[in-house]
Amino acid sequence: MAAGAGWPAVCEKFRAARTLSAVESLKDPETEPYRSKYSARALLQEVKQLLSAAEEGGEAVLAVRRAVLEYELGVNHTDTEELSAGEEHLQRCTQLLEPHRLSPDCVSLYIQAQNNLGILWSQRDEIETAQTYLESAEALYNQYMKEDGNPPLDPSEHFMAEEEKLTDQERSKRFEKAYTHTLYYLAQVYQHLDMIEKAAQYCHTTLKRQLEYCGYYPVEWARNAATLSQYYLSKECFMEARHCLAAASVIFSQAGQVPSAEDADETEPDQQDLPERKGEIARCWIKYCLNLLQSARKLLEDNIGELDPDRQLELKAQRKKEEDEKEKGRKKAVLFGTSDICDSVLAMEEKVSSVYPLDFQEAREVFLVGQNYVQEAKEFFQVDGYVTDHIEIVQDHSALFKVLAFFEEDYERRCKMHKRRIDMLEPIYADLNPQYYLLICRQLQCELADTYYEMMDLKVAIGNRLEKLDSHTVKKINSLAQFAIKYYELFLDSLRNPDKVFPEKLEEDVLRPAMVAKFHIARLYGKLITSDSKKQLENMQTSLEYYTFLVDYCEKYPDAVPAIETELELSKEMVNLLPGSMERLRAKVSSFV
Amino acid sequence: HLFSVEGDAIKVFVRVRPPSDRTVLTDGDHGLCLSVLSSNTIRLHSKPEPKIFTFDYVANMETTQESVFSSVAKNIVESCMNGYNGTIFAYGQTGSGKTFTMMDVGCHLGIRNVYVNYCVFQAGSGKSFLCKCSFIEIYNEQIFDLLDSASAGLFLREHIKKGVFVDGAVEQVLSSAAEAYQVLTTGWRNRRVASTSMNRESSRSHAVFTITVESMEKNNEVVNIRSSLLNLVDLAGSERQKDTHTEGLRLKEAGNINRSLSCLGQVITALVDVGNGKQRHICYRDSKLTFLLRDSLGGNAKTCIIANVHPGSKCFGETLSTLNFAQRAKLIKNKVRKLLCLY
Repeated sequence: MAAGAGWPAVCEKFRAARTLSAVESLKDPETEPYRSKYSARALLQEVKQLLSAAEEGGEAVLAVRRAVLEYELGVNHTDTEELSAGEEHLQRCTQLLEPHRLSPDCVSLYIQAQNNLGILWSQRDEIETAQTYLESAEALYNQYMKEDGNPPLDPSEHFMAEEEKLTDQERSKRFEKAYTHTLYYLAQVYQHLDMIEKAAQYCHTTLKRQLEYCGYYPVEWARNAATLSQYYLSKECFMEARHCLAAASVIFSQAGQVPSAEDADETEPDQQDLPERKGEIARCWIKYCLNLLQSARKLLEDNIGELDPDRQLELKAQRKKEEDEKEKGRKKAVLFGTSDICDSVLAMEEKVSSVYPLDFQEAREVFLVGQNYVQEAKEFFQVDGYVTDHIEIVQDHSALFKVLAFFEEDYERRCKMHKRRIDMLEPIYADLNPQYYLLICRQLQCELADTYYEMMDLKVAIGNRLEKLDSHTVKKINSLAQFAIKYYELFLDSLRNPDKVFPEKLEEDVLRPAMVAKFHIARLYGKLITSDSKKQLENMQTSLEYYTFLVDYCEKYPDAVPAIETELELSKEMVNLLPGSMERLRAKVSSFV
Repeated sequence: HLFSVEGDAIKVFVRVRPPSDRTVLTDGDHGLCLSVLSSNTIRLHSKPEPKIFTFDYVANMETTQESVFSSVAKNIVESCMNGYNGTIFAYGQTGSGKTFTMMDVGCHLGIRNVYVNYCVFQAGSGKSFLCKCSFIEIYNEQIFDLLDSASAGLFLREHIKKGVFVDGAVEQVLSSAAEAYQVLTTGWRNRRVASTSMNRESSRSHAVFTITVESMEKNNEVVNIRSSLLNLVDLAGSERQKDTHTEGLRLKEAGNINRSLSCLGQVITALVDVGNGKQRHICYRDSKLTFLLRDSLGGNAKTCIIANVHPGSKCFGETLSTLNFAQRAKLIKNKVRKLLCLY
């Protein structure tokens, strides 16, 4: 070794280079963004020159130290946008380590080198190459843990004096962190490659490991877990979704607690957003309840959208048989947290089911949980300040009632549930300025119209059971129909241009809603009850006009047909039938005269 | 029924600035990477085949501010007086003439035109008008008020009648076009001051100048108030966006701070977006700019983008990407939220 540069001096230089690279470089001016990185690089080159086999340890130790330097130089070059040079250094690092990659001295460094090669290739837009490096890092970790498993050396330790070396605990922490990064990068790789399921699995594992190794901010973690639950919802994996949400709620409650001394300098970034984040998690829970109910409904409904009792019995029998078995196997794979957290998460889970509710009682329990989260979400997302969010929550609340009504067998009570929806939606709609919230206004118009329509249908069904329609029921049916017509018309009016002209050709995204509105108005005029024949003829005429609109429109724009096939077929039938019925009615009226 | 944000197609205009070095003009097309073929087509001299782009309007180097205004902004400014919201975006790389176009065409002529109309309407019967403006800057997802240099970190909120607004932003009541322009230049100066004092570059921030026109009409004791917004948006230089958004497959690295695997959330969000047709809630909000503009852009609003390009051959890459962006924008039917995400 060169005179005057003993081992301690070498270590000192190495340490200085690391400090320059990690700490000083953050303060570099914009005009010279890589100043400290370049200084660090020079130091690392010096250290490389000073290394020699003459030091203790012999060839093997020297090879590892060289590999550490190649690694540092590789990272340094990629940081300063010199990818090719960076790649060379990193490749040299892995070559030097190849024979010893499973030894506790090298495994961590090898994995980190592979991680960096993965990043490097992704910067060259060659994600498949990145994938191979990262997957081999993953495999190496697994093999090492299986064959050895002792806390391996951290790369920085190769340039440390004996007395400075890390504890096993610290070693293990750093090693696991490097591997967590591998998984985090793999999650991104799979997402970029559209391997969505795998990406989700790696996101899940990353979250899980963050918990295990206490490497997380509670609020950020909870938010990520809650978001992941929404992925599981889209796949109808309710058990996993519930687990993510329960964990999100449990971890969220840790937010703002005094951090341990070790982490005191790292406070969570967005503490002031706590109420908002809480509201967001509540909204994820609402979607959970809503989806669970809606999926159950889909399983249970017959071809006219009513509850199918045979199907219900069948599913109940089936559920008894498979209860738990399958779930337990899946559950092991995704469980978050260690004992303490795990217990709280499980307790949280018990508050709501993750299997499909099959009758009103079960559905109601899910509904009530959802409704509680509606209240919680509204605490932050108040209409004053958060109009869109607030209305979305109210819409969810209405949707919860709607799906609960499906499970309710008593028509009168079902009607009352729909009335609740009207009561929550109507006042909001009345206040909302369509100039800024046109889209939401239209959603509300359609939803209000559909709700009145449904209530009218229910009243008709109730009336049909009576021997004779009483005047009260008639009045009720007519008034509900009028309200439904009113909101459909408001929606159709919103499509008019400023000169109040209805568009010649409908935009794709409003085509189906507009056509359904026309179709429903036609039916509603058909349902209006009146003893006045002249009035009845008028209603039939209006009805006919709306049916004709549909038929004519589809003749003119055949590409609209697939969007409203069923409605079109019925409309054609009515256009054929109605004139005849009207003729008969006219004949009847004139014969009386 | 779930509708997406819909409305008129976005009008897309391209403006070619003159090269700063006038001499290249003397030897024909030499040194230039594009030529303007007509008032709506442009040819990019790409290899091996030149590429033709078609837009709603192309302004060549000789086009004056006045004529850019009358073909591009006039319609939007005027419909603002009729109760429509309108937004004009300037897009392009730093140095492509965005600010020149925006300050003069969008703002100066725009304001003047608002005022010409304003006076005409004012003179008419029954209605009275109020004209206000605000000027904010979005930098690094934070909102700064350019009319109040002391303020920092303002928040976006929504009002059930008035839509989205910047809470606490100064709203200046205007009584003349000259005054409006004065306010604008003051704000612009603040933007420059801020960019030196806080090390934030104007090319990295979006500036939004908003004119609100309120009309009040008395109709048999019923008072009808209407208000419409005209947003003039100077977007951050497109070359900066490239660093963060159009980088393709790059992996986001783990942060320097020990625990932060900060983009994990975005990865998960991307997974959830695929599950369409299902009810879901995403915990990550739109960007500030998208959120601020989303309601004035949806439905009954008029929007245009002026893509500015520099014709020098040195700028070929940037010009190509600007033209590609503008082409995509043309195809998008006012799904501005999507568009801005894409941006």
